[in-house]
Amino acid sequence: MEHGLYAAYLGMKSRQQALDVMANNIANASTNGFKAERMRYESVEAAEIEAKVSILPPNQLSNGNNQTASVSDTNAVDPSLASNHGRFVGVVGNSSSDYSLGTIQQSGRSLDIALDGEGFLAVQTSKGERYTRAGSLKLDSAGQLVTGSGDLVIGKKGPITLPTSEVSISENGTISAKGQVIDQLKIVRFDNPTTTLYKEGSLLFASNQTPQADTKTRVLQNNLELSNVNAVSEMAAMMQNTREFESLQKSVTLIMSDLGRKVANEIGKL
Amino acid sequence: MSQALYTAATGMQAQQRNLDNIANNIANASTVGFKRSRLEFQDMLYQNLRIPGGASTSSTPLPVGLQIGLGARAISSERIFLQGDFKQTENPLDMVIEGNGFFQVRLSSGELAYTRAGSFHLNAQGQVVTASGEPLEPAITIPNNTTAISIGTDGSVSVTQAGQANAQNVGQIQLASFANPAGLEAMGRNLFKETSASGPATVGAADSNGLGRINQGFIEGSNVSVVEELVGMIAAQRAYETNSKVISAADRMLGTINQAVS
Repeated sequence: MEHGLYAAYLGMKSRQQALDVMANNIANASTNGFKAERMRYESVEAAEIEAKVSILPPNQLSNGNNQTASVSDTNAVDPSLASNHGRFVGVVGNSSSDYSLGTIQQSGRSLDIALDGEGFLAVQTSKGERYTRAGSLKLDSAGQLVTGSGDLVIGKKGPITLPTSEVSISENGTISAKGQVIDQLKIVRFDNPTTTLYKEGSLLFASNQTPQADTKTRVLQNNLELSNVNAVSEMAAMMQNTREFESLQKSVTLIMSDLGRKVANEIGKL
Repeated sequence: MSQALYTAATGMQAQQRNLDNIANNIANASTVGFKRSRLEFQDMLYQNLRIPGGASTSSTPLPVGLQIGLGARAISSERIFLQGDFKQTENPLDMVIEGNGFFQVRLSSGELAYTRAGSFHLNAQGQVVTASGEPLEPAITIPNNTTAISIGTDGSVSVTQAGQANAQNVGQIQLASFANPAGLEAMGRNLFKETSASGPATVGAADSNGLGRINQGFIEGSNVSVVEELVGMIAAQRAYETNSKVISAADRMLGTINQAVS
């Protein structure tokens, strides 16, 4: 009885996380350069659950400015419970970003760039080098090229200072102003972004690996890459998700009431 | 409680702001010298429930992790300084800047403000002023018995007076440019104010040092494209609705739990 109950609990928990992921995708449907997050379910046996619990990193919010908020550990499993039921099967959720290209839209602003390809723009933040696909660049008061949150965009020679906002950016990222080449944007790529990159918020990705220079990605000036969230498929997935959640709840009710009571009664009669 | 509820609320709030901004652009579709602005959004913090690349056992890393984002927020309104359409008016004090630069205007507080709206007028003293009466800087006074005003592409203003054959120079219009015009603060009334983000103004004669040329007898229309704004409005409205569906889905799931307990 506990097997089924616990499996249903894990199922409901992961459906709730899936809704959180979809909510974030839909909330970011108008965020330029945003990459949708995909939830995938993974079946686990109790022994595995135990292993996963033991390696869970301490929960933290990824933004360094706000570490006071903490999150309760959703995957935490009571190890004693798990070890009692060696073969019971449950489900846990994983999420990974969908790195497919968003729609590229013309914006008519000379400091807007879209990356047509799998590359990322390298930026310098207070926490080190980060990567972004959000190409709505700006100049700060010192004339340096920055992202929307004010992080410095890095070129081959370090931070890029421009004399004017009327610049021309070629397809390989070379920036020139008034006929003179100033610098080239640092465009990088990762062999396997789903495993090496994670989101930090503010459209930044962090990585524990050193990226390679990317020569294939084309830089399109006067364009922006829109969010790659597909609202229609998110809605369909959300409806399915809600129904699955309800089915799981029904199985909880069943286990808790009729079936459970019946089993207990039958066993009692023996 | 369900995180999805709050996440969807941030999405709705962002779309609300988007709509507010579109409304202002459309309301100013006929405002001389108006520059449309565009809202930009960012994703918020992420809860890292499992970090990709963490160890699943001592020898195998986790191929993917579990990150849950907490929604979206509007971070900036970017003003798009694209040139608007030119409309010919034949009014001698209507001017457009063809290219970079702003007219300088002296406010009643003594501060300088900057504008692209080049429809100027004369006040009772013969000074060239904006529609709200702020004088152009440096001040230019047109003499009383003037029959014709001519403004050159470099901003030099000359007048022909009754009974005189030769034109007489009465001043020079100077334009200001900024390293980062998008950093200017909009004050309303078509005026912009210098900020630390825009950098200091560089002042010079028109048609020199990268500053635009002045064309007399034209005004610069708003650069708002109503069709584009309407498309943006539909997208914002649909995104708002989709976010509200998330709220009902989250509510339904919470309701399901309550049913299970009762």
